[in-house]
Amino acid sequence: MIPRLQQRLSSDSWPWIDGLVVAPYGTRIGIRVNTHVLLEGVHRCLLPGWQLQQEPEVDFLWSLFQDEERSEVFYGDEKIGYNNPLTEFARNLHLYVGDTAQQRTFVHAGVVSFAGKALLLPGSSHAGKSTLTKALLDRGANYFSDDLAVIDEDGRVHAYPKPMSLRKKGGGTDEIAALQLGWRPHLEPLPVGLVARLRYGSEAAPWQTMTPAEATFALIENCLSARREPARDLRCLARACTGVKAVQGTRGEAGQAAAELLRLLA
Amino acid sequence: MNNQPASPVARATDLIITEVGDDLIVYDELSSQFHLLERDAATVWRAVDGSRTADDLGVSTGIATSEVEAILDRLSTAELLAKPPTRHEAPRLISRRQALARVGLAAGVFSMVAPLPAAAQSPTCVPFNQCTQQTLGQTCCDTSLICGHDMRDNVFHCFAPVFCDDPDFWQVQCWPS
Repeated sequence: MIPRLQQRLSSDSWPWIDGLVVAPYGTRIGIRVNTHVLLEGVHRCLLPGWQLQQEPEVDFLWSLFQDEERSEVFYGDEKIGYNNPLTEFARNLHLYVGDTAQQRTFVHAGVVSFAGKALLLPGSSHAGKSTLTKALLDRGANYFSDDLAVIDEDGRVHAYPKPMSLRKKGGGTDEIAALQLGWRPHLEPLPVGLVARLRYGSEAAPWQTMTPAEATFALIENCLSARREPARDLRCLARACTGVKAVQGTRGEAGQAAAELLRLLA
Repeated sequence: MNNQPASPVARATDLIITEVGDDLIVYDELSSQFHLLERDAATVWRAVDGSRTADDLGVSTGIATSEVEAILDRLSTAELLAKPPTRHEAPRLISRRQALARVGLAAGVFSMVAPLPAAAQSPTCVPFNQCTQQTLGQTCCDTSLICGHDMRDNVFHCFAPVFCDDPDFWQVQCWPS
């Protein structure tokens, strides 16, 4: 099946051979390709639990093309990147899913669960979320996501089991599958227990308490769809933060910070 | 001529307002800005209905008039007033605390522009040798390098990511170890 948008795209006449459609979070997303190798790669990028759909009409369409002369990736009519199509697709897919989700609010945050509550670590890319998330897992927390918190209308946090991406010294990344980190299908969504806006510094300093409103503000700052769905996102995030503990400040070594966070959450 | 100070009026349109505890978070649909109004600022903003001056608001809310004035200044700067206050009285000598409050540091109103959607967050990689100040931290194409700033030569180009405690490398962008 080759997915299609209602409106016509300039790349519609290219030699697409196959594709797939998924509909996570209420939005129908199509991906079309010109080689079977690309399609196999696309399948590897999908998260556990994403069901393949049968109808070709979609709300958003990715087009991945590669031959001996060129590589192209389009999101609708917009060209995305210059790199290997699968690399660009894998790097951007989850951001776009979060940006267009109809039923959930996505926030850039590492997430673990502990003692029946979710711990959110809001922060942009390269803020050290994965390092701290891994340190929390090493101390007994359970994996929800190293990069995206998914929050519903009741303010509860859902797992987003993308692989954890840990940067290596000297370049490159190690990817660890969510299953390897202890994630399991059908995890129940959890209420937020702690929001911690921490940045790395060579010298740790005592953390300051945040009010629920400040915690909400910290999540909005990292929310993917805040401009598109401000009313919904404000409502979800305010509910998520009502009555929760929240801290902000500079953390030092990840292990020490993780131990302190779990102490606060317990 | 009317010498009475004008009474401010809170803006009521194109705003999405959410209570969080004692505070308010307000989204301005015209400017795409979020504003956090802490308790006193929220109390003052709710009370500015065009019928009360800063002095009146101080009396009715129990907040010092100087604080009310500072909050009104910040609310006005944040464009949350349909009609800002105007004062006709002679300038008063103000304390350092009042001066700080006037610039918003103590007025309990914090603002930020709503984050850009993912599609506008420059998701593309940066072609090799096209790193600039604006692309610091973005991923370079074809490799696992990122744009960085070599302060020794004051040039921007693609680097392997380094850790912040690496003593042999000078780079603005580094990763927590």
